[in-house]
Amino acid sequence: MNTTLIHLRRSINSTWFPPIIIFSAVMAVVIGSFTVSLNSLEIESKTVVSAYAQGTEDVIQDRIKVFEESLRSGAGLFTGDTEVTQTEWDDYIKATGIKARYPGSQTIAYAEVVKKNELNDFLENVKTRTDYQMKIDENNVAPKYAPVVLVNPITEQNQNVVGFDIYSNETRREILEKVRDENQVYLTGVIDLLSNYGEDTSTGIIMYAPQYKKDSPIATVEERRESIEGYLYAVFRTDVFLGNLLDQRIDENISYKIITAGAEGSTPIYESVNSDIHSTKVKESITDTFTINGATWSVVYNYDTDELLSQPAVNRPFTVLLFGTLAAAMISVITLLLLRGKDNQLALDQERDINDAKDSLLSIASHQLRTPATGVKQYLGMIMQGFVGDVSPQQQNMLDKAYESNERQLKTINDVLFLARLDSGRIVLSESDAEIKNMIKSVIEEQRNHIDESMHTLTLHVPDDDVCLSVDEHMIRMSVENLLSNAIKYTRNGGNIDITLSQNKQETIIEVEDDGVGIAKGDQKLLFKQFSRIKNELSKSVSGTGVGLYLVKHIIELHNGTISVDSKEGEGTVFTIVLPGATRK
Amino acid sequence: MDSKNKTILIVEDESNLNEAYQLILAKSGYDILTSFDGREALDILSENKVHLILLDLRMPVMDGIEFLKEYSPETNERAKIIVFSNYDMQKEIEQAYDLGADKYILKSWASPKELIQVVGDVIDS
Repeated sequence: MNTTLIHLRRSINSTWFPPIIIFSAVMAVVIGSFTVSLNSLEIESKTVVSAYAQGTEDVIQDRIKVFEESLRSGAGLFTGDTEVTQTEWDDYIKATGIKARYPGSQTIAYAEVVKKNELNDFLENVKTRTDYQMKIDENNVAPKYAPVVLVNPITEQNQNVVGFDIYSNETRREILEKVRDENQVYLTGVIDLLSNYGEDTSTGIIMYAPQYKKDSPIATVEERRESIEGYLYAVFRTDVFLGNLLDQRIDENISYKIITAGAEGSTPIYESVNSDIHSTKVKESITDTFTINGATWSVVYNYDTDELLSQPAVNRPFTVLLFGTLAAAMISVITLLLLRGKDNQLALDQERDINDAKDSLLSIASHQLRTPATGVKQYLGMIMQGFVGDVSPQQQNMLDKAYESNERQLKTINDVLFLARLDSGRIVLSESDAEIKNMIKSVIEEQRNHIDESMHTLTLHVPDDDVCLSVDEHMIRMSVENLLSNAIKYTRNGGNIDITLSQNKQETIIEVEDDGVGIAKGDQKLLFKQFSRIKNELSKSVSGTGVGLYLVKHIIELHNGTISVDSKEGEGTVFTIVLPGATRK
Repeated sequence: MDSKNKTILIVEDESNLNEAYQLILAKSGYDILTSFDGREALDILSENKVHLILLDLRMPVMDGIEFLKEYSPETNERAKIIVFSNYDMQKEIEQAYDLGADKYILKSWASPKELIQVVGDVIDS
């Protein structure tokens, strides 16, 4: 039992650690790969979204460019002719076709720069160019005005704009000064079209372009300030202007909203039509910021990597994880099995070596222990048989005792050797057909002297027919010898011993009954234990090693039989051997 | 049981036992030849007609198993063989029978009386 535990512990130590280490190492690699794979998905999806963002930016940029060019060429119109009329203005706008091609530009207008002291002349002059009334705030203390002179189209709202001094708004004035100083086309941030142009909804942006005096130098800021004559500007409704354009380019997995600088956090100026797809949960988001004509644009793109990338690509990290884990488990199990196999083989080899050594030792011991006793037996035997002349009764008596002692020694050697072999599991039954009736008779004959000496009455009850059984005859004989020898020893002189051999359909039963000293109830369970000798009134006067019944029990069990005892102290004992099989011949 | 003109070869290295068997079997009327190992036994067998060999297993020079392997006379010339050993391992018993032993007897089991009995049985079989 202890040996088994040690084996077990050793095998746990030596076989479990390498697979655990291998599993951990492989799993570390797998988890690393999983993380890298997840990151690469993130990078991959960002690349896709960035490319899409660049596309969006280009589209916006291109559209703004078209308007910028229109405004620039419009400026040319005013430079060529300082007194452009409403009709000429309308014709020009129509000719560009800009409004038809790019809806969303609400108004395209021209504002003229007027010095305070030239205001009256201007008001006189302007009457020849437009029918609309100038509404210039004369309380304005600024040195210059920039009243709107021409608008297109002429709508009710736009009519109200004519005469409006675009310098009057501080923020826009700053932009206009930049436009003038830098000779650049600039965009405003988002403005509220409702308050500015009476539009029903929505937000807009305004694009301004400068117009300088004909042939004036505009190389320096000073020169530009001196040469500025007016501004052209276009007002866009952002939802129509951008929506018309951007609605056409939809990626079903990317939604976005455009927020220009200064308007961040407020209502975005444009939301992609599929913005609802990420309304419940925004998994990933990137913000693209760029500048167009002085205005900073921020576009926030929302997407879900899982949706954006193909299914196999999205599954890649989990595939890596799953197969990696499986591979780790498999490698570990294989390692474990290999180590176990090796360990088991080692244990088996070791056990076999030990058993071989034990066998060899037993073999030599049996030979060496028996040989001297054999010599004694032969020489005593010869003297007892009168080989060297007659023996006196007194000598005969002594010789008998010597012979008997020698026999007992041989029996002890045999018993101990048998026991050793039994314990090492090396006893193999050598079964053959044996006739049990004659075997028992022969055992009785062998012990006849002892029976007679003790003046016992032995009665044998056997069936008329031979009782043949496939058993290891030598061992069964040994068992019966043991039981009979015990019955003889533990029965007071002049007792009765009955041996009964019987068969039923499945079993052969041998009973050895005596009316001897019996065995106390408490001692009965000790009977079949190794080296146990039961104390009773006769045990001091009889010899024995205490291995007999232990051997008998093993022998019978090797034959798949049973042995039982029924005894009453002081009244006698019955040992019953039951062997499977009943071949009556 | 006619022991007259029957020759027994004793192969036994233990001199006390060798002598004991000589005494016992000679008393029964057999002619006895003795040897102390397998090699010596083979030499004797090459020059003498032997009816029965009483063979020990554990011996110097040539042991009983080696002897059984070497001993290969014509079938009608072959002596009966009783292996007489204090080994009782299954392996040795089986090996001895496989190599042509007629009987395997545990030395310590046989008293002089039983020795005579067994020898008689085998030699006449």
